[in-house]
Amino acid sequence: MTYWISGYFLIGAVVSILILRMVHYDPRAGKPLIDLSYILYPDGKPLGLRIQEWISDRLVPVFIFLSVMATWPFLVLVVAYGRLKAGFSTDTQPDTEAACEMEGENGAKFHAHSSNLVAPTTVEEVEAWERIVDPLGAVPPVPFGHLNSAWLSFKAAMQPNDELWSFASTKDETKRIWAGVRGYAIRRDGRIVAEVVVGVG
Amino acid sequence: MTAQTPEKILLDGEMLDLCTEPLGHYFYFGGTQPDFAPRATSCWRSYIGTWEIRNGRLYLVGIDAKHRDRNPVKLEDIFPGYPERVFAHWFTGILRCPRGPMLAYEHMGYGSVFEEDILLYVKQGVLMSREVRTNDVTNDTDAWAE
Repeated sequence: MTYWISGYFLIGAVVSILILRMVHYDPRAGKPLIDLSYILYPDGKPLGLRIQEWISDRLVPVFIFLSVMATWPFLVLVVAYGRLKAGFSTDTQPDTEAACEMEGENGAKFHAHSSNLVAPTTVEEVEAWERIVDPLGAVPPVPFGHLNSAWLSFKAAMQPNDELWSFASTKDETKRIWAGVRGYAIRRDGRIVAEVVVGVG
Repeated sequence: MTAQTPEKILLDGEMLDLCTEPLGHYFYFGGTQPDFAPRATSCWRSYIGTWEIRNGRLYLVGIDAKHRDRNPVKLEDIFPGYPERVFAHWFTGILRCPRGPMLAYEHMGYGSVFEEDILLYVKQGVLMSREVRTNDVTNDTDAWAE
């Protein structure tokens, strides 16, 4: 009986580690689980705030670990079901606040529609408009500056009879963004097949 | 979601917190994003950028992050050929820099309320205007984002 119980919790420990990794908690990347200097607000944050953060960042993962260790068969089923339902998608965590801001309410990235198209243009015109200059030389002297590679990828997708259009969205279409996004779109046979978003406002 | 560690910004010789993530816009627009090593839940984005307003322009001047192999991420890893300073021409929006004591703690994102917010209005990396907003705990902290 002891062997069975030991085996159960041993597997539970392994499953706990795997699940913590799946929710992006990486113990190797963080601080020690008990770090008194972290509590004593070295960068001036109030003690109460430090304690709340410590609970969130340190105690909660430990609680999850112990809980999973005890109930892992059920959780394995739940996680497996979730994975199957999501089609084994690995995109579970928005990378940045900006990504959240610029995504629609359903989490999908912005895609231009025909109603967003402003005017037809040419590669030459766009590359002249989007040249960026900085007095301190902190940007490459090419179209779209630091985003030049995104533009080159977009341009490479163009086919001989494609049309290049500028586009701008309205605030309503982008939901949470404070102003519309703008960019350029490739239209092929009346349909938008690619776009590059280059700015907001 | 835990309260998030802010970015840093050097403004008029003063280093302030920055509760906006201009680098996120860069990644969204198709800029190359390194495979950052995860940090604690208080920093989901896995990096802390240091910014500077200089001559009325927004620059990225440093980044605190690690690759998955534990080596530090350098500015040049994201912006090849630009190891010290990057003009943030891709950013248009409002930079919010809280200042003063915390009036209310919000355990989510950048929701905590501080005595003041310095709001910097930036268009394509160029500072257009600024204002200082004095807060009280009854302020709607989401209102500015609308």
